[in-house]
Amino acid sequence: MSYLDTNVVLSLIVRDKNYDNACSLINQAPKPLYISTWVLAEAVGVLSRKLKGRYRSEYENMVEDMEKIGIPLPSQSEYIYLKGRLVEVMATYGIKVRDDLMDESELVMGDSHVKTFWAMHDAAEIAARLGLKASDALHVAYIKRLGLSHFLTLDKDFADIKDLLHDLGIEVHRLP
Amino acid sequence: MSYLRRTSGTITISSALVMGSTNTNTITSAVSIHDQLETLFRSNVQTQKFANDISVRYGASNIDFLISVQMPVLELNSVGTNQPTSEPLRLLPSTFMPFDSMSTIYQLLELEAVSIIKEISGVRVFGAEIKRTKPPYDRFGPTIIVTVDGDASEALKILVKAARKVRGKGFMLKVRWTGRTDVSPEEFIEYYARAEEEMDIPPFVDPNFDSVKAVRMARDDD
Repeated sequence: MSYLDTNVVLSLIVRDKNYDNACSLINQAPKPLYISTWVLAEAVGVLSRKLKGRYRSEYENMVEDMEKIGIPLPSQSEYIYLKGRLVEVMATYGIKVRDDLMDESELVMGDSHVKTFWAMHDAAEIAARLGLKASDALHVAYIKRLGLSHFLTLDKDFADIKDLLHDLGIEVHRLP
Repeated sequence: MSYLRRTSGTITISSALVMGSTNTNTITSAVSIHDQLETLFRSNVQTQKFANDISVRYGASNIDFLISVQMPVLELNSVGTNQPTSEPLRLLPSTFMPFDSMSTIYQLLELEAVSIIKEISGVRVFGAEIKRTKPPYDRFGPTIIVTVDGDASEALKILVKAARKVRGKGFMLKVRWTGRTDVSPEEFIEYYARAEEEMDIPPFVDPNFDSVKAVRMARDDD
């Protein structure tokens, strides 16, 4: 079972210069393929910045089309649009979103016992242990908790720590 | 093109006529056509507009064949434009009207769009309209809007199904409907996004975008 990094999913949507590598990674990876809700959030975040950027986007064309037809624009239109694109890419490549576990965790902070979402608790531990940034550590936390063992990424930063991740039971697959 | 007038004579430009999808060769060819025309017509501001127009009409798709385009002798003037010119530009004569040829290609694309819709749905088609696609998406070809006999939900489901067959055909497909608009705005957006994905149309066109760098920057900003 493989976990896809956000950059792989983004490349499939945008068809940028990493697209061939993203496709090769997916073709070679142990199936099934999963992403987390954190990948969804990251992907939508990066894409949304581009929708109203320097170049006219298809989102803007769609908004213009809706005005012509007389369909009102809902407040969450960007999110719905990007989620729609993501859903279609996932269907094409057989990628599924893994359920978040609903477990609670407890963080002991001196005299206080703080209830926390497990991902935050795990990410804090992993960040400290591997010297990772919080957002990177969150992916590693997801891979561990969701019981996935293969991590597909295009990011050199993760390849650089593949031995450390191997010790956690995670195999990093990266191209080139 | 009301600001073009034909006189007599011939000039021949050998260039690639492009139809289809979006690879590097396609763009190179479109640029090549544009450059050739610009070289020919660069002496007049309005001729730049003409060159642009030609490259948009001819560009945007995959190279299927090469032709020798015989340009008509043109006299450019201000009729039908907002930019009056004092002196019309006279060029060499021709035996061929590129716009007639383009119109035939557009008609073929329209027929193909309608045929795909009919093939996958059997629905009655009320008509098709072809429109120039705004940059930077003009590289995917013109937009063909097909009106189907039915409600919005049916038309949009057909669009998503048809989208994959449209991939690489040299045009972008949209639908309109004769019946009720029986979809919520959220449903419309979802159908639209899914159809674009199936047509292989990216959400934005930025040749410098790098998914790895973009994600890394977002993470480093956090």
